[in-house]
Amino acid sequence: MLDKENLNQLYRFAISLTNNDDQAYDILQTCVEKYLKADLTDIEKPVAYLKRMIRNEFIDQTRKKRFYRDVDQDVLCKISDQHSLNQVSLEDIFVQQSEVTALLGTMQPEEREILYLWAVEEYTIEEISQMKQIPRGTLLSKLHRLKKRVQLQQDSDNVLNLRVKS
Amino acid sequence: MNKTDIKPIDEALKVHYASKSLSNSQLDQLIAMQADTLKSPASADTDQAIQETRTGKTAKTGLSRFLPDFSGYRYAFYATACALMLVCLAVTFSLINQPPLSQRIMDEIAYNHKQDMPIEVASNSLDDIRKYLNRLSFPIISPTSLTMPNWQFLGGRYCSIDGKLAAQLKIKNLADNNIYTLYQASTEAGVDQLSNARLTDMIDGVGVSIWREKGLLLGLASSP
Repeated sequence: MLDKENLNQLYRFAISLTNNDDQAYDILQTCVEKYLKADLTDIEKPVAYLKRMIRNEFIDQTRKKRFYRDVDQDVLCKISDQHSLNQVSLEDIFVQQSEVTALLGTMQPEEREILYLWAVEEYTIEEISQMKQIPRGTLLSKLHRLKKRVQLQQDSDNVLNLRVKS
Repeated sequence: MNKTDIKPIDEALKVHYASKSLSNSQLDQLIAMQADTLKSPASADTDQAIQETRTGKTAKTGLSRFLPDFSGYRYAFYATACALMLVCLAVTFSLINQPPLSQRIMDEIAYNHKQDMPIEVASNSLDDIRKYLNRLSFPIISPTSLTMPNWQFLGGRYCSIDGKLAAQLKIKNLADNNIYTLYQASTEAGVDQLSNARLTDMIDGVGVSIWREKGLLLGLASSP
């Protein structure tokens, strides 16, 4: 049985995808219902199982092509991939706490999910790569683009009040 | 701008998500949902009970052990049972409202008479007609009530009475020159349920009489 801590953890994971509290709760409720109908004896790790369910449910509810769409081309063209195969360090991005909500609002669901898994659940890039079944190089490339985009947004309109420590 | 508010993105994200929690009512709802589903009989092993709840395979007791398990397709079973019940009611209703056999036979004789079908063999001799209608399971007789020479045979043909092969004979009453149709059928099957008394009725403008004689069902029809 899922306790309050588990449920809150799953709720936060759902928020990382939806960026919307109500939609996150709806998805969580739907997935818990489906989970309870499943054969529980076959499920060794309920939380991990439910995370996959939540992600699939979110993709079902959202249009898949929107979830996987690339970032804007004009942004992409400014971002070089030449460093993507190297280690990408996210720790050197500094943000103002009060602007985190706005920052997450500018991101794609998959980007928010990766950041959540890395920052909150403290998975390594290697673990996230295995969990999401994305090649490590692809994941690093995504993170590199994400980091650069955050920097570009900060430099261009200063809306998010980000400061990159170099 | 509050500079002390600036922190590494991972810390900022931790704080952000830590502020997101399910409300007490949402938590209660989700926990109650699990409790309802996982509720199992007190005496049973929990895991087994959960499995039984999922699959619907609960232990059978009493007479239910000998009955087929329809729980998997309950609604189809109910629908089939209702359909069968309706069919039974319809059949019972139609049987209850069915007219008696004598009435049905008289209706059929009146109908055959009104059809005025042409005869297949034309003869004044009963022997000739009997020889022609050789597929009948009984010999055609000359009814005692139709005493010759007041009546004259004109011919005959096959017909059907109560679904059985029967004879339809055309006879002429020489006294009034009217043409009658005489019917003869075996009293096998349901026809022998008729009483021996002669029954007479007027059906759709046709006078019909039926009676039993020498083991046969006889009927006489005439138009006024």
